Amino acid sequence: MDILQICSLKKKYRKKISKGTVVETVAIDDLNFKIESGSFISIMGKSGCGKTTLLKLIGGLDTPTEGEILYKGKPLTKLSHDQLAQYRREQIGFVFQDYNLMDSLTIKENIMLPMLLDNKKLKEIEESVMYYAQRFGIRKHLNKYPGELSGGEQQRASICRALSNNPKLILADEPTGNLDSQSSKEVVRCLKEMNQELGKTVALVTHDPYIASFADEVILLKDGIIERCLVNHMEKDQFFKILTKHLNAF
Amino acid sequence: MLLKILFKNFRSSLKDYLLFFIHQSLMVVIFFVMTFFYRIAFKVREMDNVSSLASFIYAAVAIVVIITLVSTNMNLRNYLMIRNKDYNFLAILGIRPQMLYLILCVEFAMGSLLAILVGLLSGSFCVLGIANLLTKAGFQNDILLVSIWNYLNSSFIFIVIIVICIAGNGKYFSRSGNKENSESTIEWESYKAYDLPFLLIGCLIVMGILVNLWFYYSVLNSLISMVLLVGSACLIVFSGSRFIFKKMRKNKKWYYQNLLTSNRMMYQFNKNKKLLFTIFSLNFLIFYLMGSITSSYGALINAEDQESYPYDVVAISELKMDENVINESGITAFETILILPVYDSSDNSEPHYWGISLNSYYKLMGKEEALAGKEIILISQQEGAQNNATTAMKRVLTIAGSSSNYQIQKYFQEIIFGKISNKNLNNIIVFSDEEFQQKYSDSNNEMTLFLGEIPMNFDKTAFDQSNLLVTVYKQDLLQQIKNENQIMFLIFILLGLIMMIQLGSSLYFRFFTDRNQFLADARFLKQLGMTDKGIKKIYTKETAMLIFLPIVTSFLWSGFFFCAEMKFQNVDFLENSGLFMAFGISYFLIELAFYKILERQLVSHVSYG
Ligand SMILES: Nc1ncnc2c1ncn2[C@@H]1O[C@H](COP(=O)(O)OP(=O)(O)O)[C@@H](O)[C@H]1O
Ligand SMILES: [Mg+2]
Repeated sequence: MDILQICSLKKKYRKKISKGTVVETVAIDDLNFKIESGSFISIMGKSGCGKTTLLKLIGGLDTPTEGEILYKGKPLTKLSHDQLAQYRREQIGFVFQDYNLMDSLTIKENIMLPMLLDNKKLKEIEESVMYYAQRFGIRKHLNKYPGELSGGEQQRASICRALSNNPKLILADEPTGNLDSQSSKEVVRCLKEMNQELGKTVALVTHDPYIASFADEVILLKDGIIERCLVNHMEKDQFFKILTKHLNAF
Repeated sequence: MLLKILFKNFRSSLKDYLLFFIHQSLMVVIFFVMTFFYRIAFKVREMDNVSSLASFIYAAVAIVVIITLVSTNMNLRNYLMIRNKDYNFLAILGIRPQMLYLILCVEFAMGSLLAILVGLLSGSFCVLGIANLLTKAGFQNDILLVSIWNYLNSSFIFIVIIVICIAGNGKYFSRSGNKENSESTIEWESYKAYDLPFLLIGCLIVMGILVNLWFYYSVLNSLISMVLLVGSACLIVFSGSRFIFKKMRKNKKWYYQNLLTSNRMMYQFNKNKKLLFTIFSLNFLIFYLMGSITSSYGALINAEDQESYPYDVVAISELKMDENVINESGITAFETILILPVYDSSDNSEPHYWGISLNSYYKLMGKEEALAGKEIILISQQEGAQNNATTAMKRVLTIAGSSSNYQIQKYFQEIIFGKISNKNLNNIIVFSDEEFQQKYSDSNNEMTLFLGEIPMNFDKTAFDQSNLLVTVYKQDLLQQIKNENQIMFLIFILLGLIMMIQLGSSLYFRFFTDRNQFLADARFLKQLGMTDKGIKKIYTKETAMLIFLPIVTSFLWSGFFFCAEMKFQNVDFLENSGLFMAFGISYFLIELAFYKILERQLVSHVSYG
């Protein structure tokens, strides 16, 4: 079953430079693809090709200029502001490049936040925090503040937070962008783990072919359209080589 | 080349600079107006050494300078914070820190010069308006002058302040470039649990001060108390809120349910301690001034309805005065009122009370009904009242000296014109006429109060040559009091205004610097699936706390303080409470409007994500 269908999606940004002249940037130009439930897809492409814009549209943080996104068959454009907020709260987990943890809250409180917003029971919340913290190896940091943790630890905490509300779809925008290769590996392993063991659908944006090679399917974007779609049937190393080749040909 | 970079740099930061510039210009305007008043004070002092106005104006100028210095420094820091990115960028380009500092100086030199020009120009118009107002109120034209002296002095003070601030912030550039706002993490946990003791100490200090003020009033005591009160208020608010916060945190269910709100509030509270302290003290002063405005305005109103008093001339002499002197001056009908010092048997250096006869009391007060059926009235004879008895009469006497101050003068005026109610006349004993006669024959240093009507051909010089300790002419006194009250009223308003400007600008700068962090947090909360409404609510609460917490606390505190002081200044506060309420309400409305503007500026951006 497809969890997400993207139908002739377009996004234009308009910007007034001076009186009368409006500059239009086409960030996404006629995209069509589907994401299967439980799959791990990766979106690659050069900087400025519309990757972040795409994730924002999927996450309901922005509205498309044209086209439609169907989540489990229901169009997102028909949802009101409050319904979109609810959709983000219940169905989507975000992981971003700059971790997006709140400085004033402890790691534990940061992870609890989505569940608190959902008015879950305290006992349930604490159990689930413990579970994810244990699983992603940040249990001993729970009572620290984000500033006291390394980048990789912060990113893992932010993954825990994204998972804590038990969403169906995880959107990760260059989650390894600020990390060294060792921490990057750990983070992408976490993402893979939650895809395989917890059955989450993951959409991951990245520059790095090594990170992308963990995915089942890689979408290469160029200037807002799909340049190529690669499906991973082979060994990881082999797929990595193919990906690198394609990227160099770009 | 460098000049080009400088110019471009300045132009790009013009928008950030704008607020700072407006603030600077306003400061120049206010300095200019203050020098105008200062000059009046100078003239008034030359003309009339009785005036308390001069010292009042000196104090006001000092307050203005200090407040401006502090807040300009604060605003400069915030400005540096905003420009931090630019400076880092320039530093990366390889420009040395000294050069960056120079750039800042040049920017400020340009900005300040412009601010001086704008400020002096608009200041002139302000002064024109004020002079017009004062002329209408009966001031002579010849003291309402503006000269080059005003222009030079106000620019000079302003430049000195700017130079001090810039020199004080030179350190900023000597540190290695990347200096973000580093006081970000919450340190609640690391504080030891001294909150409760501190809270109690703070409360005790406040109580001590109030009790102290209640029973013993002096200007020095009052000033010290004021400073201590501000300190103790901070002690109470800071340790109290921390105490409450920790208690709340123990109640897990509640705490987590209100996680964002309570956490954000405490975070802001902790981060902005200095700002809150400044706002608190400024507000404390504003409210205190408001009370003073009210009472001074009250005196102004009261001075106008003294017409019922039958006498025009009041004179006090320590000597037994020759009645001929009065006769020579042209006054034919007059009354004398004898005042006797009453000594305590054990101590002869200071009179214990001052006594007057019943007959004199009638004359002084013009109302008999207060004394119905009693021969001797001891209006107050409390133990240990000796201080009060002598100081009260000294207050009357200081009128003769040049060191009088406003309150004493008012007190005197109230005694003479019978404005004082029984409760406050606790230093004067009224004797029956016979007993007074008896005491009078024992005594040899009584005072005489002469009351009479001023005839048209009154010769003032004869009066002046006599040995009178003090001569007060009712009409003159009234006019003078009116004039001084009007000036003081204006200055009070000016002081209130400057504090509000400082308050507004420092708050605005704070929010301005925090805006990026604020928007980032908002974006993040949006991702977590909070509705725009929910996010706005959290920030609204946060902003409201920063603005209104210090205002409410300072309102309470200055209220206590004012009540305690009032008891000794014989100001019937309730009489003018309507006016005070009007001031208070308009102040709150201004704050509310300011808050709404800030909120709009910040919160409206949330929906853009
Ligand atoms: N808020 C915005 N306003 C105007 N243009 C934007 C905005 N966000 C992105 N763009 C433009 O849209 C294009 C795609 O941006 P983005 O999706 O962020 O690229 P990336 O693939 O690097 O994440 C870029 O050309 C960018 O300039
Ligand atoms: Mg991007």
